[in-house]
Amino acid sequence: MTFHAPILVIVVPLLSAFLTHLTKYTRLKRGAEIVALTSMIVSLFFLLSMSGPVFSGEVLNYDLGGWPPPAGISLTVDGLSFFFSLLAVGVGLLIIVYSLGIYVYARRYYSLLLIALSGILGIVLTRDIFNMYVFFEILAVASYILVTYKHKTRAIKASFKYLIMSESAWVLFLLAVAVLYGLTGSLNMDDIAAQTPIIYQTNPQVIYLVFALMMIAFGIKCGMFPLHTWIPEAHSQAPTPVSGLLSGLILKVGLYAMLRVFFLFFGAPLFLRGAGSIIVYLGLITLIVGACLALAQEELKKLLAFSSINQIGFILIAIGLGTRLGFEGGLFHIFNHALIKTGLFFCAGIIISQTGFWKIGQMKGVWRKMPGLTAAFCVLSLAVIGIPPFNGFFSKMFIVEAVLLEQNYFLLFFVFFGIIMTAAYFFRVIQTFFAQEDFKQKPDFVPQPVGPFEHLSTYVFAAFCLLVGLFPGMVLSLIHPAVKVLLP
Amino acid sequence: MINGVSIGIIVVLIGIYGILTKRNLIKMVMALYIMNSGVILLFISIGYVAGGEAAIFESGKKLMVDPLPQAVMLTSLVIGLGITALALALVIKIYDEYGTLNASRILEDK
Repeated sequence: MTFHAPILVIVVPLLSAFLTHLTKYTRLKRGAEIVALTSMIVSLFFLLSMSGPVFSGEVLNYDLGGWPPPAGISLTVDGLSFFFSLLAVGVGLLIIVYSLGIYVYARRYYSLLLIALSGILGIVLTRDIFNMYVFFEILAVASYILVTYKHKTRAIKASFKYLIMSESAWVLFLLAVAVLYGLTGSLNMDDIAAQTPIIYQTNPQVIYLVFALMMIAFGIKCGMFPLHTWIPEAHSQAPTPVSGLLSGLILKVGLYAMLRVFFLFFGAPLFLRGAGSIIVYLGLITLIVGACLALAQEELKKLLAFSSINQIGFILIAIGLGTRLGFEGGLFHIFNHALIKTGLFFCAGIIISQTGFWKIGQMKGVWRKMPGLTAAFCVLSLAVIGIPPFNGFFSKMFIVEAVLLEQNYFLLFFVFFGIIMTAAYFFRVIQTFFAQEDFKQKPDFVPQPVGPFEHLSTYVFAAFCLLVGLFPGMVLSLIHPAVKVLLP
Repeated sequence: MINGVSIGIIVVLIGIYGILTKRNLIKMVMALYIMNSGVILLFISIGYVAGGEAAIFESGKKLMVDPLPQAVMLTSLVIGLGITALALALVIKIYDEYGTLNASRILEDK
């Protein structure tokens, strides 16, 4: 069974997505939910069954259908893909738990959610670059429909914008794949990676072209500065669990693809020639723009969306440096940001569903009505700022240290600026929550009842932030094999 | 030189031009599909061999067309079709609500 584990991790949620529709014909009362939860737990089980070899530094290869790599598709589980797939399965499980309370009997919703999650797992585990494109499209189509799930007009508009931007990204990615196939005659990432240094020596321009096309494609997916415009609309208009999915996982998938493809294909030669600093300085602009726009937002969910852009800036800076400490900080911050931002979107979703207000200024005195939730919000926002007992502190410390070792004080100044701005916009929200005024609801607004599942998943995220902050070694032992893949 | 690759690149560029300049939602979806078709043409042309036959292994065949791009682009065509259908469905919903297909006018309305 262990032998087939890599494909079972992807296939179990994918097949369960279609199984959820069949629960209509059974007597199970909440069949779709049971199928969704079970499939994610089974997927987690298969993933954990591979943890032993991965931690000992082994690379598990699996050829689909027994066809060897150049012709067939191969899946690889190494430190980096294990790290990201564990993150995807863990956060995905909690997103499903949150949805249990709001989407009752929603077979279509759970089906789409499972398709999106299996798409993420496929992107992370595959070693075939065209297969990666197919999984990206599976994820993208599921997420466009999920954004419009409530049929709100603004959500449909946001989804259309997301569709146009994201699809043009994938067409450019496919163009890059076509160029690489024309040069190397293979779609397997390892084959391509073996040939790129030779091509770089004879014809560097074509490598720059591939780099530029892929940079645009992954930049759109992860929200890099000039290409971030779909994020605030889609994140704020989507239903709450989908906002969590978009911010927690889909942005991270773009970063995964950037790490995997760039460092595998282009590696050291291109990064010494300034490609790394392109990522660093685009990350710097992303950081500044995200921070300034977050400070100017009126709506809580939009503030969180711009805060995501801001934090992506930190991660891009750390990744672009290309040093061991930079990768550790970047991957650690990816992990922390997935936990924190999903939790924050869940908090914001519950607060909005209780007050009926979208704007921050109207949410005065929320702590009187929902003390536990306000505490969770404070914990999560302190974590994202980087206050010591929480997890964000360690990842930001790593990033600052990595920048400091580069002796780039210009960059260091703006990293600190970003951290202070993060504090500024989150304290503004917390201040409003603790305002002296009485708690008010929107006139003639009937709040939906909030069940235990929503609270449970939000508190689990907050608890994880504290736990990882107290014992960062747990996550670092996951990150070390991942960094070993990038810097052997 | 006129061959599949160069025409494919021109078609992609037409698509990019369309997506950047057109304000009509249907035209944007069309531009997206044009871009996709351009890439498909380019990819298939990469594997094309002049005078080649279908890659079915029999004795006596010398020149064969590379089958991998064709197989791969079949997938891509299906994906493109699905995306276009979804995009047009969204356009119908937007038109029902706003009564216009002009992107600038739709964006004005908050």
